Amino acid sequence: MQADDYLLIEQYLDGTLAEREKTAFAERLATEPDLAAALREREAMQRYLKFESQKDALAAQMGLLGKQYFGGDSLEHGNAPSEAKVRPIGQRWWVAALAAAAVIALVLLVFNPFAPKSGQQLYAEYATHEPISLTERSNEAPALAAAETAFNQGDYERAYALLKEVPGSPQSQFAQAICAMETERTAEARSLFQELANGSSVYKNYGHWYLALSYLKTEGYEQARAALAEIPKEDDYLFTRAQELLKALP
Amino acid sequence: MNQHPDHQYLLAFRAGDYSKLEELYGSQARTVASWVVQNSGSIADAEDVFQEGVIALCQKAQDESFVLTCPIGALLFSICRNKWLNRLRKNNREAEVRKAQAVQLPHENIVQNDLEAVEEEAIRQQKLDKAFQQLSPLCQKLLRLLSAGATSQEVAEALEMTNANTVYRRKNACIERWRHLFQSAKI
Repeated sequence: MQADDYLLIEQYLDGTLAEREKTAFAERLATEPDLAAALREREAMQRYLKFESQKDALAAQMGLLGKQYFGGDSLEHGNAPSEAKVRPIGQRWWVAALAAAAVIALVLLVFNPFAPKSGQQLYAEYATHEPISLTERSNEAPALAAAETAFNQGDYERAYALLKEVPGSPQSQFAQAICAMETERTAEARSLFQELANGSSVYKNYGHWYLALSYLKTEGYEQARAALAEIPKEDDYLFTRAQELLKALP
Repeated sequence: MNQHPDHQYLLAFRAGDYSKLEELYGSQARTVASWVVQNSGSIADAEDVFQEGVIALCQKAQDESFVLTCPIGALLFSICRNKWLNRLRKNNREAEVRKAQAVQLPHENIVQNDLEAVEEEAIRQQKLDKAFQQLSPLCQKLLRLLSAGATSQEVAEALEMTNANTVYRRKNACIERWRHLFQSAKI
């Protein structure tokens, strides 16, 4: 860094450098980490000023949405939440207990977890998809690798398109079915899950499980119950979840 | 890493368009609220960390070199989660922190890189803010005007300076002061 490099940075950002100076500056950036760091710092300052000018609009929008989605003022200034702030539980345990009761009452008021949840809510709660790994047993397909990445990033539309192109192992069929379900291709998803459920691959029980989830989406609770009932006790993990979900069904 | 389709949210935020925020509230407010409440917080706490999380996201959105590689909802949730864990830590609630951390989240791995980038920027911007607040009112005004796109001539008139040249010199002096304050700031 030289003394007037900061001025050079200003000119570079203002776009007032001549073409030749610009090229020379860019070359120096590549070889002088100090200069590059100073430029990044100056850019962060620019971002600060730009964001500052938008802050009011953002605050206004968050104020509106906060009221709508968090209950807004009544919650912020009501009695219960201030008691419920984080604080160590000391000897005055009953204050904490009261506060906890207040929070529970409040949560019940707002979310009421004991009220029957709709299929959509249950779906959102239970349909958490574990990351998949499609490529370790196959070397043929870059498409599979791309599908795996897309799936694990939650980009189901793209993963669906890619998986449609590859011949199906049970594994990729399973992934494709989840993608179909997540992209509102419910009928197709169901037939794929049904196929897995009828088969004998390791995805058999997942087939039942996901079939049930797909019915939650459309509020077909009877079909969901039937599918959940197919999951055998031996499958500890899914069985537990299935029992839990059965209890939560409206 | 590839750009995630949700990158479009960042582009909107960068342009100062916050109409898409409602979708984020719609998809994440409830999740964050119930997680915070499950982990010893109140709904008001949840709203606090949610707002802080949204601000951190919008700050990072200003960075044109940043590419979102994961679903924005999962990222926002992770930002909020870390913010709440930090508050618990500050209040010496280590046991609750450990309990919360023991639960593996479905998107933990895919959000990791973007999460770090957002959190780094948040710290940087917080330091910049602290330093900026220590500048003279004249410096603050001058830098804001220039950033909003005013010409040197317009700034000279608004701040009653002799000419555009004075504005230019003052600007460089203000920037230098700001930089100095920023570099010596501790957080």
